[in-house]
Amino acid sequence: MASSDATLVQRLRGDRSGDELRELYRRYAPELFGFATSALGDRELAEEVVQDVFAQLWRHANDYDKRRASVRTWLYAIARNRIIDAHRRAAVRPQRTDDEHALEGAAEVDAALDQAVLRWQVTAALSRLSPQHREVIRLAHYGGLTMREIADKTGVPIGTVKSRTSYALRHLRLIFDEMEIEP
Amino acid sequence: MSGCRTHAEQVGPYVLGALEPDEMDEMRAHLADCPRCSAEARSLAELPALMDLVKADAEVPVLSPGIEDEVLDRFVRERARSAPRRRRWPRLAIPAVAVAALLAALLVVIVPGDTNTAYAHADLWSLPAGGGAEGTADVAAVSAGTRVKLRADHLPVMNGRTYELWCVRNDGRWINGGRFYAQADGTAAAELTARVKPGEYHVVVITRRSDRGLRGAEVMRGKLNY
Repeated sequence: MASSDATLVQRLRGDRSGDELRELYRRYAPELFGFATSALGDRELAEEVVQDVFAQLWRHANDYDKRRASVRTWLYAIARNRIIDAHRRAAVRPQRTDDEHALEGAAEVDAALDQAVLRWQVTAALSRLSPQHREVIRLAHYGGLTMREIADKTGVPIGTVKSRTSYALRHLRLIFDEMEIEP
Repeated sequence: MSGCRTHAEQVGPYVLGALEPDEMDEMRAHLADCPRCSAEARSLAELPALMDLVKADAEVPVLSPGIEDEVLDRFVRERARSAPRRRRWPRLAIPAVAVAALLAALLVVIVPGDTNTAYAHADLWSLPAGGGAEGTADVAAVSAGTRVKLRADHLPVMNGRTYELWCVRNDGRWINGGRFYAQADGTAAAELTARVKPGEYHVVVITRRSDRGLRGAEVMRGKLNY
C-alpha cells in the first residue's frame, strides 16, 4: 500500500536516499509545474519554481504539521510564494511603497494566482476527455459551430454529435467535481 | 442526474448554445416544464465560463525529465553536506579502524576514482549549435556520483541561457548532470553532480535545455582523459 503524503514528509526528515523525495516529486511536481507555468507563462521560470518548492520541502520537512494543512496545500503555499518572488524579480515597473497600494497589489496577486490554478485545472480536466469528446467541445464551444454544422463538417450523424456533446459535458462536470474545481 | 428520455441529448448542446435557433426555443420551453432536464442544465451551466479560461488548444505542460534528477542530486548533495559527524568508535574497535584507514589510504593512492580531487579532464569543443563556444570539464568522484566542474566561454545566449550537462556512459546511455545558466556575456561556471560513476563514461556533452522530454541541441562535446 502506498504511503500517505504526511508519512513521506515525516520520513523525509531523516532520509538520505532521496526515495521519499522522489515519491513526493512524482505525485506533485507535474501539477505544481502546471500551476507555475500557468501563473508565470514561462517554462524555465516554472521549472525553477518547482525545484525551489522541493528544496523548501526537504529543508523544512520538520516544520510540517499535518493538523494544519495537507501536504498538497502546503506545497501549493510554497509554490505561491516562489511564484510571487519570480514575478517580483521579473517586474519592470517601479515598486509601489504606500500601504494602500501594497495591499491592493497583494490582493491582485492572490486573485491572479487563484486564476492561474483554475486555468491549469481546466486545462488538465479537458486533457482527460477522450479525443472524440474533446473534438466536439473544441468545435462547438471554441469554434462556435452548431451541432448541424459539426455534423456536416465531420460527417458524423447529428444524433451522434449531440449525444457526444452531452456526454462530453457530463464527463467534464464529473472531472471538475473530482478535482474540486469551482468557478 | 441526466435529462429526460426525450430531450437528454439536447441539454449539452443547449448549454453550449450550439443548437439551431428553433431548437433553442424548443429547449427553453421544455426546460420550463421538465425538472430533470432543467436540473441537468443547471449542473452544466458553469462549464462554458470555466472553459473560457483556457484556449482551445491549451495543453498540459510536461516537466522536463532532467528536473527530477536535478532535484534529487541537489537533495543528495545537501544531505551529504549536513550529515552529522560520526560518534567515536569504541576503544576496542580502534585497531580495526586504524587498519582499515591504512588500507583505504593505500587504495586512494592506487585508485584515483575514490578521491574528491579532479582526476579527469575534458576540453569541450563547439558543435554547430555552439557558435564558437569552448570550455573545460574537470571530473571528481563524490559519494553521489561524479562532480563535474565546468567552465565555458562564448556560449550563445540569444535564444536562452539555460544549458544542461550530460555524461554519456560507455553503454551509450546519457545521464543528466543538471542544468546551469550562462551569464549575459556567454560565460558560465558551474559545479554539477551526475549520478554516474567516474570511469563509466568518457564523453561530456553540453546541450541546450531539454524541452517536453526532448534533449536540447548539442552545443559542446569533449572526451574525458582519465
